[in-house]
Amino acid sequence: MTTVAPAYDLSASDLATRIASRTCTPTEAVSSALLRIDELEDRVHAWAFVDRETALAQAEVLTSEAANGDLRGPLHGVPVGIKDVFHVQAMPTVANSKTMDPSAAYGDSAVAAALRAAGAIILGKCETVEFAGMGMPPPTRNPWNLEHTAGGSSSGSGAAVGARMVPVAIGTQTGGSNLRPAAYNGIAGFKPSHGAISREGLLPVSWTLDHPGIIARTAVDLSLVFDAIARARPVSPLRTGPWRIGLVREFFLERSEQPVVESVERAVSLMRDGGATVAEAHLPPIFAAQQAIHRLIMSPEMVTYHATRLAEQEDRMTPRHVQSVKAFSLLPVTYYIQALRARRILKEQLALLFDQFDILVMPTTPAPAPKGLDSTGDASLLSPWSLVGFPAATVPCGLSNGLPLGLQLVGKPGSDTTVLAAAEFAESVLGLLDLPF
Amino acid sequence: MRLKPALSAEEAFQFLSASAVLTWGAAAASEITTNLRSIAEAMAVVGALDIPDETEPLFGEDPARMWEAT
Repeated sequence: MTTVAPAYDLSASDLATRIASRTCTPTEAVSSALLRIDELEDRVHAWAFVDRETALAQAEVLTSEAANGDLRGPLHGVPVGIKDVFHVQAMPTVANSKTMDPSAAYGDSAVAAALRAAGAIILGKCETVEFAGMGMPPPTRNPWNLEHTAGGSSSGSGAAVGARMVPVAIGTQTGGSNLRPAAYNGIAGFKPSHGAISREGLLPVSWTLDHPGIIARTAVDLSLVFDAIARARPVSPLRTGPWRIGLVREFFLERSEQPVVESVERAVSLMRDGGATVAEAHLPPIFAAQQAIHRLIMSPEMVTYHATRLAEQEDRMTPRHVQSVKAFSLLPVTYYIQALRARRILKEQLALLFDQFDILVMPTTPAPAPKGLDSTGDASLLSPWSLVGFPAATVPCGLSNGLPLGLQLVGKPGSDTTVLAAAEFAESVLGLLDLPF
Repeated sequence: MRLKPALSAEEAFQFLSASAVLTWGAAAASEITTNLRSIAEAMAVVGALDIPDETEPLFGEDPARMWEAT
């Protein structure tokens, strides 16, 4: 006797296939997701806002359409969540900040509009660190261990997918905010090349570093959603293997805890067994300055966006946010420009690595999710790729003390589909993680 | 504040601390010392880089080079 998985436990691609074949309806999918949210939200706190009635009403319409064989797109009837820094029509945008007016009306961001056009049903807004920046973390907990952070700043997006509330959620990454919660919650994540997904309708942290990203159950789901919401197609030709993999030990493995190192070494060994060739990739000397370059670019861009807020609503901002904005406002402009120049050199020199390799691999984070909610964890292994705008994905690669670890895969600019294909390859040899409940 | 000759992290911190007092007042300045140290260290690292004269700033994506609009 075979058991049919409940709709909430299906990946987006499996759910879309079942809806298309009429073995599941959008109403069943949304109802199952809402029941799962009811079951777990009191403990996980993944959501800033859920619009049950509208989601169920949309699901009924999409159910009728599917019954007639009329599918809007590849995500027809699939429930999704969106980080609460994207505007979504008829939903509040609060960004975990008391400075935002929850009654303000917005139209759909480009991402929300693209999801709807593909047939997705937006259930609500997922919790975020205050303005997705260096402010106050949300109350979101890690479904693998509620005493630990779910990561951030896309905390709710990671936890909602990790807890099987929705198969897909949208996040953002300026440093490590999309791939880190994906890794901490035992699921897949993708940060595309800078500019591949539109930032229209997104509250910015730092214009030249912000990337909308995808968090999903599987790497296949990442490709499905990226195809649906990317504003452009990469020019770089798709590679599908045999993979030439560069393992980056410098900095990335050197900073990581031993269980993470062992997990990545095992993952690379399995990929070699799967037909990949693996050699060590060496970073250019300027890489040593990448954290400083990132800081000097993000700081003035962030403070410029929040300057009016600080002047008019300081009493409604958290002390952590106020202190960041006040400090960052003091950076001399010459240092910002010099950091932008240094970024060009770093990007050009890192891109040379891809003459030898299709993909670079390394840990996603140096340790599993830390205990407590004050910190959303270490983004140091992720921010270099946000800085240069290279596409990066994460897939689960093991557990440490019962908490998930991630393997990060990075490609050259514009090679997004190649990175996603490599992530599918890695996932096929590493397998998926099963939630402990 | 000069870019070259490169500043030490301590010189950058002294500059930022003085600026903080002038801009936000002594009380607020004392609350952001940790943030200022972090920025000062980054200034020292970036200020010490040897960047060729012809290098232009990289502001962000260059969709025309990497992407075909759909």
